Amino acid sequence: MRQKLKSYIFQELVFSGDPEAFGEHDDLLEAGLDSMAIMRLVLFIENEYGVVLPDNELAPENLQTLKRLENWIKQHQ
Amino acid sequence: MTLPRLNPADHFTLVLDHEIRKSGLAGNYCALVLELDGIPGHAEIARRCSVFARRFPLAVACLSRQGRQYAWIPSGDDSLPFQVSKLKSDDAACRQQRLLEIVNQGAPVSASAPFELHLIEATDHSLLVLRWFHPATDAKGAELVLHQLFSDSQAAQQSQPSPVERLQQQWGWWRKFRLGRQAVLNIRGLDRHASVLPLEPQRPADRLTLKLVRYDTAQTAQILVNARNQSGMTGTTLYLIGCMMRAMEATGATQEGEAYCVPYAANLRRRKALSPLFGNQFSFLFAQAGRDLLRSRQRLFSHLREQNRAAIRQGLDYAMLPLMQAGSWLSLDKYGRIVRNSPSGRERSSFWFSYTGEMEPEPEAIAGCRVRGMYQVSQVSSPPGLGLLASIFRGRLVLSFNCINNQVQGDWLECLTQAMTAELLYLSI
Repeated sequence: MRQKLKSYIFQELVFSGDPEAFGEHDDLLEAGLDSMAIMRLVLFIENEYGVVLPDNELAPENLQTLKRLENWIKQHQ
Repeated sequence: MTLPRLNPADHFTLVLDHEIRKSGLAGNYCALVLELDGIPGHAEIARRCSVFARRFPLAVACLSRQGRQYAWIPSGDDSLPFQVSKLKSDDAACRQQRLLEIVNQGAPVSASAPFELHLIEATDHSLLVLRWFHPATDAKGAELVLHQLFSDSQAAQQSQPSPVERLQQQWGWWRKFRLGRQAVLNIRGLDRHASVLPLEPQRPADRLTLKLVRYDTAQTAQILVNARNQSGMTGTTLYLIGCMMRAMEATGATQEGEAYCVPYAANLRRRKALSPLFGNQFSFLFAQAGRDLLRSRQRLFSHLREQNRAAIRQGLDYAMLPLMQAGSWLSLDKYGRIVRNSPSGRERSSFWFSYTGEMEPEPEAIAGCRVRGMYQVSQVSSPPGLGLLASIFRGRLVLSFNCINNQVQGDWLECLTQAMTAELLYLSI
């Protein structure tokens, strides 16, 4: 799951010279994930994993790193 | 030499150029303005303009009509136009007057340079103005052009394909048809409500004018916190639009119209990517809110957030692209009417809006002079005759209110900016 999320983020939403070097605890918001990108990411996740991610949980605690993102998705699976 | 053709979003901005000219204004010219401590050397800037033109021939191309469509062709120029204006006064009004002369100076489409550099010099500081002709690029592209012009980094930047071109190539005709149809239905839904307009122009527009409102780092931080609280993590754009709707309503924009309707760009570039520099890489969405919703901030922002989420869920952030592609086969006149007007003939946009967030990459210095601030300017058609451009530089938000000098009352604009500040900072008016 983590690899798929990472691929989507760095192929579609954010540019990184070396996506492989981006770790599970690195900051996605610092990397450039902006408001529109977050919305697209959430919809990608909902379509890909068949979950519904509530609006009121859209917060840095759930989106800041790949690890947190993965945990958030798992909570709703 | 092969130069890229206009993509559908470029062509869309060319239509807006046509509409702006029809309003009596110069054309679809925009400017990125850097406020410098000191005065950079002219020779160094001129050298960089030449180097840039050699690296990127599109930067000195010109538009040529080819049948119903337009294409870039080489202009024969070997450097970006670079002009210096020396001011006799240090007065800020004087600087702004010269800046507006630059933005209001029109030329026929075929003679409009994609990019021009202007240096406005006062005694010990200056404005560096990158003026661009909108079909050449969008505001984010202009930031990248500026970076490439003045970056000393020799690191080769991997060239990224145009997101607009890539999406078009990915989609089959059926997908394009479905997306385009969704876009048409969306617009038809918007057109059920007549839009509120800030101006009812009785006479042709004279020229663009500008009012800047700057916020310090503490105020900007507060505004971003408010934006997150009201519109969630996905909502700085929506927060700015919603606050502007409420500010306009509070200052009696007009008694007519049922809803505010605001187009906003969905930039398709990957964040932090240093290319593509050229081509407009956006689709767009609409934020619409009935006047009854404006009484409650909570209801308004909840509505705008839900509308945005539904729009992206339906793929409407991409849906305008096939429609823009189809439109590029129409005459500029007909395309312009369809883009701007509802079937009743009324202007659809209550105001033009752009939020580019933080400048990326953020220049520390340009040609040896520290960059103190940055803001943007853009021509706007009349009606609506009002554009709001928002950007952040060094943690400070700047709002650039662009409007038509002979159609907007100075007192009203002053009230509007005060109401906007109160809304953004969430103070009681």
